[in-house]
Amino acid sequence: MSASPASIPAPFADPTIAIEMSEMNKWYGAFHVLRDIDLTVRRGERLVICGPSGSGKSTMIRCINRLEEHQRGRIVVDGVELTNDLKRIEEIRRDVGMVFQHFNLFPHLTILENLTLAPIWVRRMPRREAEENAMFYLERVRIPDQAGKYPGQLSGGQQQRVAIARSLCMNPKIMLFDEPTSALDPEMVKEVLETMVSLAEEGMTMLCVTHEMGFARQVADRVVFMDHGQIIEEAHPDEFFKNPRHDRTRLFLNQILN
Amino acid sequence: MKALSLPMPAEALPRRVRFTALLRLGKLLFGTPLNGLLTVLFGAMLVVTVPPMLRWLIIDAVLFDPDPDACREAVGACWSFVYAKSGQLLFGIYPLAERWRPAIVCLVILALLGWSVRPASWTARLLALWIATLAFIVWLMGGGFGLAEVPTASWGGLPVTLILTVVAIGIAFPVGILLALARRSTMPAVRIGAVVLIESVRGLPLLSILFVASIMMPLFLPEALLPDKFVRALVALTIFAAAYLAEVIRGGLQAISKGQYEAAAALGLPFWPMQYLIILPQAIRVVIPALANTVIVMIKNTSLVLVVGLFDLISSGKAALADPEWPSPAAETFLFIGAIFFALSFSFARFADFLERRGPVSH
Amino acid sequence: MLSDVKTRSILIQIVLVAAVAAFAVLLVHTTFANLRARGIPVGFDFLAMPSRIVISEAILTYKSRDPYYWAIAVGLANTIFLSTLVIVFSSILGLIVGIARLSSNPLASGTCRVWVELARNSPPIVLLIFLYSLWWKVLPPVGEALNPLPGVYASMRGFVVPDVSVNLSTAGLLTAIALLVLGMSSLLVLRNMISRLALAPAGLFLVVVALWVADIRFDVEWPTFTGSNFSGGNELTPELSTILIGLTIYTTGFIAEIVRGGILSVGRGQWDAGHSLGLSRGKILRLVVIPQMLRVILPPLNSQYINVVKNSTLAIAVGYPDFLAVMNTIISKSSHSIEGVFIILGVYLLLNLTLSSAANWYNRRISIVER
Repeated sequence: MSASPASIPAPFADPTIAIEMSEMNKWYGAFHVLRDIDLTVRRGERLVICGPSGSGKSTMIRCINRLEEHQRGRIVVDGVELTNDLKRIEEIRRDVGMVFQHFNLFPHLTILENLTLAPIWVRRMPRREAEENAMFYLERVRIPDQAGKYPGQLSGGQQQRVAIARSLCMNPKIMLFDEPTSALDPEMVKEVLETMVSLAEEGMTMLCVTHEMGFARQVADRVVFMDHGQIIEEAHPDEFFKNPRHDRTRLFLNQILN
Repeated sequence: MKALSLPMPAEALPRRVRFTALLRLGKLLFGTPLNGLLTVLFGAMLVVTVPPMLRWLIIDAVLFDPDPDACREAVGACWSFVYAKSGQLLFGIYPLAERWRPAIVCLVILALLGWSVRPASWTARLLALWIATLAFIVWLMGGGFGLAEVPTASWGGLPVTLILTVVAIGIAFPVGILLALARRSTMPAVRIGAVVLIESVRGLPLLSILFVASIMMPLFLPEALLPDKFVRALVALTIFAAAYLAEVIRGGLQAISKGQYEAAAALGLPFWPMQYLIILPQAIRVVIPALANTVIVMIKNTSLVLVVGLFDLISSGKAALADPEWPSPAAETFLFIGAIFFALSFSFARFADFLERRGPVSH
Repeated sequence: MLSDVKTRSILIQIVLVAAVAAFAVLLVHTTFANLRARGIPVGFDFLAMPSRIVISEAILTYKSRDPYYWAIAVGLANTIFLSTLVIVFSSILGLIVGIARLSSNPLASGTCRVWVELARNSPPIVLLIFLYSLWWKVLPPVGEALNPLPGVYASMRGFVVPDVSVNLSTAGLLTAIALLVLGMSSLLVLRNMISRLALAPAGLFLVVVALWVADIRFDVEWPTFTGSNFSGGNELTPELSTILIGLTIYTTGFIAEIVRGGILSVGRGQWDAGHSLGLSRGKILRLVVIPQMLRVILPPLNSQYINVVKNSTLAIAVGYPDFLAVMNTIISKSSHSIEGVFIILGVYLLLNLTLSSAANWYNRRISIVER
């Protein structure tokens, strides 16, 4: 309670661990959304989280940056435990980027302003530097020519790539993806996935909630399967797709692969 | 078929067009029995009312004759009175030689008001411009620093109406934003406080708030701190405007999707920067038409300050009518004052319509 | 510690409540100090004392010997009387003007549009003062009073209209009420057994029977002109007439817009859908269009009605003694300003609350009927 967040030595501080959830539980009123979640993510690891809708996968990753509050158990992000402390929440949010299903770009700002907003206001970066930084990431997602436009003038795939660039501008240590391709037209899925693959290849710690099993096969270090608020199974993608251990996993894979 | 392929005679075409237009009008007026009945009904009403009105307004009226006796003899309206007294009507008892000052003030306020409704001009610079303008207005009206001093008691007419409107709205706007945010707060005490304040102010007639302000303030405050009538009315108008603006802005806040809050939070923006940078700019854009409407309501409402003894347009009209040299043409004077209010409010309403039709900006 | 979300939230609330309380204490303290310094007594016991104020006209009977509380009641009755009349008149006119604005007849829609724009863009107080100044210019002296409708006279002294008085005995009234309550509740119990079509006539029949039992007679007294004066009938002063006409013109403009919006809000698709289901025009109107229109119209209509009550305070501008005008006189006469202010605030908030909860009740009811 009293110590400042930076000086908190997490009890099991291990510099190679990015996120640690232990016995994490969450309720919406009487509804038990997340049950005893235990999950450890190492730095540089790429996780794909899948499961039927309503299984709690989105809720789980939204707990990591406190868009949702958990009621029991611990979440330690980058050595800092999530509590009610505003300073810790803001510190974790600075270091954890998130990409949403519906992009959630700020429609009243240009693309460039979308990208420079947080670096200027949260990281206190000088405007010029923030703009150079933004242009660098816009080039990375291959749309530098759209910098002066407004989000409404871009296609869905372009918007989602801008959203990824917006998160990257904060130089995050961890990236969360909450069904980033579910709201896209099929022909735009590929360009977003390509961006995500290249990000993965650079060693970014990533947690992706997605139904794109091709992406999971290609880049995931581990696939986590959730159902009814529980982690049912986690395994390397080769193992996960070839030999699912659990019936429910098999059923789910059958449904989405056929 | 043959007739169609023939070239029309050059001067026959316009007549033909005129004829079909007439035909269409005739169909609209008498096409169905109901329309025929309506035409007869409204036509009869207009025939009975319009000619005598026109006769009074224009034909029998004295327009510019500076001699008061011309009005005494005329059957029609006495516009020469309004013409002769226009300075007093517009600027009240403001010293004659200094009337150019309130005139400039009116123009500046109207220009700034129109300018401020455009979302494109919403920058920090606009705020600075407003503050600078208000200071400029106060200096120009009140004097000092090289200008002759004029106490607020001698302010009157249109500038009083306009100053009360813009200053009340200018102060009420940020207060209204705070109240709207408070009403959506998760903290019960904050929320309840805002609800009680907003709903009780909205539940009261403005006149009763003006009365309370003018009766109670001398009792509430120690004598040394007691503001003059002008400021008291301004406080009442501001509280009133803030409650209404708060509800308008709350409507805009409700239109912002949860995703905007989440995206801003995920980037690490704390509460106030989030509101200032992301939520409010979008919320206010949504409610521009409603905001313009509130401005119109406030322009109309400031006319009530006459009841607590302030010298607005209506009271300066009444004062002008007291001149014993003239027959007192009250109807003409109030028609003139009504026309000023109508012009202000109607043009502002059309401007707001125009903004609304142009749709949300920057998409 | 301070950055903990929950602690901070509680702390903010404590600070807020404390600040409000401190402000209130300060206000009360200075107020009482000021009152004491001026030797003004505080308390509501002045209400029972004779007021000796003048109320120029009243619906209830009033003499200047009457106590303050009765003067207040008289003012309130004037406000309610005035507002009710304005609400009734402007609802009827607003409906007509609103529909006429949608007419394809340019003469009708144009005239109504002018009305609506004039009403919506002029301050009501200017409208009232203007109308009041017209009174002596347009209308003839009593001797040459206009007689636009049978039994209605207009002159410089105001309007004279037929007086309708209701005669009834207490016993008859009580029997009628008992009968109504009994009949209505049995209808409510039986409503599932009898057909819906029979329900409305049955209710109507009940009301007629109740009226007959109560032996209510409406006596209409026609005014007659006797050389220099009117005898019989109701005289409406120029002040009352002005504010009635002015506020009705003003409010009609707003109600017409609400009606127009309500009609436009039910799209053509609803008619098409109704026709495709084989419903008749009358059925579509009754079952589909009107319920949807009502739901759109009612909330803004209600806030217009509340606005009428608020705008009735403008009576002060032409000198009609409404509640606020009476309170103003009382405050300056008795110097019980604090108490007066509390009564003003309380009464308007109460009037408002009554109107809006009645509207909410009705709103809930029609939305249940729909389901």
